[in-house]
Amino acid sequence: MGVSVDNSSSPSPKKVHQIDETTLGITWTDGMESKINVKTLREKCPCAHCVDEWTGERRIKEGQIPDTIRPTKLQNVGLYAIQIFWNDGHDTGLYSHEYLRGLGEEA
Amino acid sequence: MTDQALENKIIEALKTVMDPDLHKNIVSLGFVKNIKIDSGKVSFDVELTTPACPVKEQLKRECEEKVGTIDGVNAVEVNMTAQVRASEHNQPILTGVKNIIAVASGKGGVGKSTVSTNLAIALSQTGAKVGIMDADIYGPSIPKMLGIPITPPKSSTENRFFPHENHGMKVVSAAFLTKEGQPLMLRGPMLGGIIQQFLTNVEWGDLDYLVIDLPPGTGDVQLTLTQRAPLSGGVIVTTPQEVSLIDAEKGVKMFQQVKVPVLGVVENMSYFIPPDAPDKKYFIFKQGGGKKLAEQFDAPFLGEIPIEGEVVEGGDSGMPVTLSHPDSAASKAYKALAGQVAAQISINQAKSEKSDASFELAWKS
Repeated sequence: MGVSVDNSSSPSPKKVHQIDETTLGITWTDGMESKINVKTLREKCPCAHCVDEWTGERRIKEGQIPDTIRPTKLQNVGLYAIQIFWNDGHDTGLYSHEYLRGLGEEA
Repeated sequence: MTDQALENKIIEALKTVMDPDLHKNIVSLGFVKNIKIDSGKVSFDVELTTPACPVKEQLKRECEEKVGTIDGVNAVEVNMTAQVRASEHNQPILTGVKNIIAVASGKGGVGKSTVSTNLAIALSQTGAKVGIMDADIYGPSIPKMLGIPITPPKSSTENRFFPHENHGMKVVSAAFLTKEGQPLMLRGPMLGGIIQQFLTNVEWGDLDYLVIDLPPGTGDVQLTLTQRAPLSGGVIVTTPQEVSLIDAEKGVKMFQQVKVPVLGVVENMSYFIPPDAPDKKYFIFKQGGGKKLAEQFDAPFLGEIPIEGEVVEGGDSGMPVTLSHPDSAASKAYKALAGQVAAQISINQAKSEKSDASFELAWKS
């Protein structure tokens, strides 16, 4: 019998939760805890509106995102990403687990 | 000895029977059920996680031997049953479907639909309830392979419709949405719409396994499915030559990127068996490519499927080789493939970290 693939090599969110009004918490399958500020999260939106598809240049200018920015809803996309709906109407960003993990480590 | 003492001895003996895939004994896995003792005659059920278990006979024999040697036992009857466990998810689609297997290839023409069809049949031949979703929107070929005439699907309530059925399997395909021979010419967004319908509007009923035949490549359909459908795992089909392997590699990486467990790599058209010399194998397209690809990604190698006249004939006549020639070399390879795929799903379920795979969080402010 063949060995099975180790699909757990890259960690996944075990629990996604709200810490306070401006902080998203993620508990990862490997035990790490991430705390991410929601404004940072919005500024780092990886979608094609916010990052130029060809040059990779960030289109969100500093100070453009107001302090009042809040998510309205978060949900999973398949097994690999999280979609965030924002109170400014933006919802096209799919944050892959890998990307979120990187954001959490920066903090 | 009292029956209770005997039962304890039986359980102790069965604790030494290991499931070779899950690496635990069958008692702690909860497989042993309904132990009955009637003046030395012992019977019990062993409930596996899949009827396609490749080591079913081996486990049965081991149970019979180990219990048979206990003092006070003069007859043993082991009933092998199966209750397919569902891959965990709480997405509100495909709720009656326990496990979803996506069959992909980087490249077209490797026989992906043939493999999907015969894999599905081999799974259903073990007693599992199986459906096939033909997600190859542009080149749907499953209905032809299963001998299902092109007729519109029977509608149910509220925009829902029933799958077609043949050979004991349920089937949906884009082929049923057009007149026979008419091409479906669609822009990207429409593709996603059709797949969404296949996921949400089909009366699948209860299924142990849904096999999805993906179109070749890594495009819209693959993305929609990996984002919307709670896939249990993906199977990559390749042929042995390098041009095919390059693309198959992309297929593996696609699954990895979207975190769909790779159940393994299967190599199709591995060798040719001439009808006049059934003991010979001609390796037409080189040898060992599929195995190498599997090793490269540390994925299970699910086997080699030979080229035989019966395979081609089966696809064209609507009577796939696993049904028309169940004892052929190809059918045996498919049977082994089905066992391996089912086993890999069970293994993944047994060890899967409880992650928050499916959630919706409303932000409070």
